[in-house]
Amino acid sequence: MSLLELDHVAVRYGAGRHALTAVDDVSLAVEAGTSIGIVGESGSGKSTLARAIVQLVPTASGRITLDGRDVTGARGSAVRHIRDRVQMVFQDPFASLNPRRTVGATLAEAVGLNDRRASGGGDRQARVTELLELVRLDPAARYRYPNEFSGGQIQRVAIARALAAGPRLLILDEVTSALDVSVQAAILNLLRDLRERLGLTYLCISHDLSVIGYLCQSAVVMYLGQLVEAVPCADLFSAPRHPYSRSLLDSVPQVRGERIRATASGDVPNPRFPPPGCRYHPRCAVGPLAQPGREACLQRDPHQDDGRAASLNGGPVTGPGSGAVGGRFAACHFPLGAP
Amino acid sequence: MAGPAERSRHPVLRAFVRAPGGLIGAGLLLGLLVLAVVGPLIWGHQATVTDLNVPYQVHSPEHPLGTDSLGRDVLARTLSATRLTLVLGLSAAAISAVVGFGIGTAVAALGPRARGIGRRAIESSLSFPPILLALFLVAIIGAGARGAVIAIGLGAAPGFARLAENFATSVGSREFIASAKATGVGRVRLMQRYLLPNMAEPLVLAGLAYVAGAIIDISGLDFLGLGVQPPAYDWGTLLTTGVQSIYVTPFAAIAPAFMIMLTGTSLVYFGEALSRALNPRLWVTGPRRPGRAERAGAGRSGKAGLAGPAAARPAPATGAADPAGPVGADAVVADAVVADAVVVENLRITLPSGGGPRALVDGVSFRLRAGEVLGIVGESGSGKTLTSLAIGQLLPHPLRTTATRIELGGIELTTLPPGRLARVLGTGLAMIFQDPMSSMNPASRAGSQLTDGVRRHRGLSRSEASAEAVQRLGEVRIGDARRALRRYPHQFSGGMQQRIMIAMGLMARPRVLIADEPTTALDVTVQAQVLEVLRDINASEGTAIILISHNLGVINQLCDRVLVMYAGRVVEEGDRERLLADPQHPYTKALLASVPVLPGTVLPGTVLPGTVPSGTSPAAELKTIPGRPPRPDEDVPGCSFAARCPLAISRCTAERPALTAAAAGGKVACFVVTGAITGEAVR
Repeated sequence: MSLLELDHVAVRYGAGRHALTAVDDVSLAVEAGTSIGIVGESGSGKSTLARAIVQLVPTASGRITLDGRDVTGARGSAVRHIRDRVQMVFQDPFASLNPRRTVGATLAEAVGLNDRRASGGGDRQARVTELLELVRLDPAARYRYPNEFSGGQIQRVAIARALAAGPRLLILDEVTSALDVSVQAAILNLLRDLRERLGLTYLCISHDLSVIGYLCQSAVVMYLGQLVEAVPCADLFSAPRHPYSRSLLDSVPQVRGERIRATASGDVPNPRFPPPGCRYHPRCAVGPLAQPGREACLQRDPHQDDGRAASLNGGPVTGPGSGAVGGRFAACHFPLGAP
Repeated sequence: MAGPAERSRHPVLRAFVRAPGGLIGAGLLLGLLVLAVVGPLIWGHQATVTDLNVPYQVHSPEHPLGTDSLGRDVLARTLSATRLTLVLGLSAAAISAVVGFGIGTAVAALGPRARGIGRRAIESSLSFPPILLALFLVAIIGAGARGAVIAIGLGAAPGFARLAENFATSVGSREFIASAKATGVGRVRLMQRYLLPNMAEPLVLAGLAYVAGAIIDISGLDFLGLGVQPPAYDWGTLLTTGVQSIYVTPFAAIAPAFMIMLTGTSLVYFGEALSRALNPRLWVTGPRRPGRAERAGAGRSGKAGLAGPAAARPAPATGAADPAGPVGADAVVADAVVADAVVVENLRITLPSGGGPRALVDGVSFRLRAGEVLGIVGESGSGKTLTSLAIGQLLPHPLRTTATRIELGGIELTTLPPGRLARVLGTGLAMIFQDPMSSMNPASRAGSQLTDGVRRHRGLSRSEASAEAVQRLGEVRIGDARRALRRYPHQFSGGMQQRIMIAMGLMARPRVLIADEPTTALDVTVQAQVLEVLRDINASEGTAIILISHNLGVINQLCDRVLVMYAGRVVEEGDRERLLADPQHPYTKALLASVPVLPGTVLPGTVLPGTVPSGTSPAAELKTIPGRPPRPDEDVPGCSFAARCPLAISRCTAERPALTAAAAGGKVACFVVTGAITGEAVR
């Protein structure tokens, strides 16, 4: 049984003419002890998906199962079930900590909320010390306010707070995007180390493929709310199947080696009005605009393609988490590398 | 960073005392409160003694401020009225604050639909002037002090309600609220510990400021005869009666008016200092932390940051160059060789502070050749953005620049008169920043923004300018340029906005384009497009580019030559290929080693794609740099990287290394690396 299963999950903002389907029919399984990256550009719905998992935004349809329990639209004890198992770390640590409270108070609160055994003040303080040491901060850091820390240090505090609950799954939402590279390296190393020591599972959201490559074993690629490819990282980097994954890879400016050429044309469309058919077709380098005879892309959404439905959406859950090679898929009528 | 031992025991008190006007406000307010307590006890009797022998006195030894129509002492009346006035003002303000904030926060806590209705209700009650509302309420409650207080209090409540609702909504949408919810913080606690403290500042200020407002409003009711009824009296009634005889006994009106003004002033000072004191961000102040202007534009990737200079106004009084500088330099040599596009020599940017000026950029010198692309790479606080702003003479106010030379296309900028300077910069230099949206005027069409500059600087007609704009938009790959001219900035996506900004910069055909983190706020696929546009422009127009980035990958895409900056100094300079493949300075080495690379696309020959067993993390542990860069207020006598450097020798901490030619090519500011050339012994 997977730690986390998403079954045809959709998230909608607004209603009627102004409705925006931020996450559209996503199914995914996350096995305990693995790390899965969610890759995509702005508007891909990756952050919304994460927020839906921790119930910060309600799901419109579909089912979320966490550790064997259906937590869709959780209330009461089910919310507690989620909080005990899933915690989230956000992109901007300064924005995600209350500026009016010391780090120690914030951490002690998180400990008190999540660990009822540590009810006494002394126990809490001991646990706060432990948490600070876990993220390699001086325990005296507890007396300071968030604005007295550097970006890297305060992100460690945010990680410590997330760990206070003793979660099994940590959702990392662009945790290093606001940091300098040398600081990012230290945080990434810390995250890898914590995963080994605490046996954590990561769901790692990033627009930076190299961060995903460093932290995760497999990745799912999202585009305009849909999952377009799910694949072990090694395969993603060597032989992506979806043209969008290819163009993402080609766009990463590498420190060494060849200069990149832009392979995706235009910008990400407004997710409120996704293009018909395959949502990627207006930008696709091998799509109908580049190659004649590929009208299928204009007419049918590959997610709804009957021929593929079984492998994509038919089963209860398909995704990279299953670990099997068959777990990879690409929502494309003409996947790259196909005969 | 202050340790717990060093920090003040009473940060709130300390911040209050340090806030401008805090002590004045507190002193005045304390005086008023004492007066309110003792006033009626001391002068209460004297104030009511009528002496019909001396009505309308202006001034006499017994009555320093004169007497009123019944011969009562004006000074005594004014002083003993303090109590009633303050009690009325405070009660009215308290009523409106409690009722208003209560309604406002309650509305903000409602579901979306109910909140909409609540908001409309608050807004429609705001459309009645508070004093009208108060008159209406007085009519119901009845005239008198009690009625006036309730009426004024309730009349002003809608304003507070809207204020509170606005703040609650905006604080509620901040990320730490979401993360607190994710941690499992409950509703009540969320309100207590997260929402209210973060709203406190403006609400406290508004509440206190309104005490003075309430006093004035009640005086208004007094004037209409609806407020305090005789024989009771507050400053409002004194003022009302005093005004009637203002030409005879001016002090009868001036004294209460002065007290009202004094109360208002002291409350505003006090409130402002209090709201500062309640904000822990301002506790560790002194002068504002240096490097903040720098950080705004630099490093912070991710969310479209504040492209600092968008807000930065050109500082007309940027320090002129060293007056004793080389005199021959400004004699423009019209040599046959094309002049360097930009020459910067000995640039120093300082922030004035209590302990003497702090250098944010120190001793930076470089040349940008015509048609070259120069990358400036560094982390937050390295001074890369400040350096570029100094070239454009755009440094924000308190910063001071000194330089031996800052030349643009052979013209020395530091000694130019302002009018000439604007022209040279307007035609010779274009700058684009991280956040294109904040650099564009949201209220004006792309077309007029594109053409305004050239119409002014080059005197083109409207149609000529439009034709040129269309051509430029084509060059930055905006399809259907004619239509694009008629659209507003928000109608373009981020990538298009940035390309329009580039087109705008190119309109004047500048020889130099400075691009400060131009792609940091963009998606990778769009970033690739913008980088291509920049590359095309450099190739086809020969525009020299200074590309500032924290991203070594982006630098690699575009640059011919690279400067590496660290803590305000250039530590290494060299050709891109050599520098990225074989970095010399220990900092450059460490920086490159800390960048994660895509597995499978590592250096050719090291790891073959697909050979990485799935299920394990492929990449080796990233190299990190211990410690942190020195802050500008720390005086580092030697190399600023020495404390973090694995190779540091004793000389490094004592003496500052200069940028010197390295054996491998390029220049390096490091004793250890260049030791081989100078014959220095390396440990």
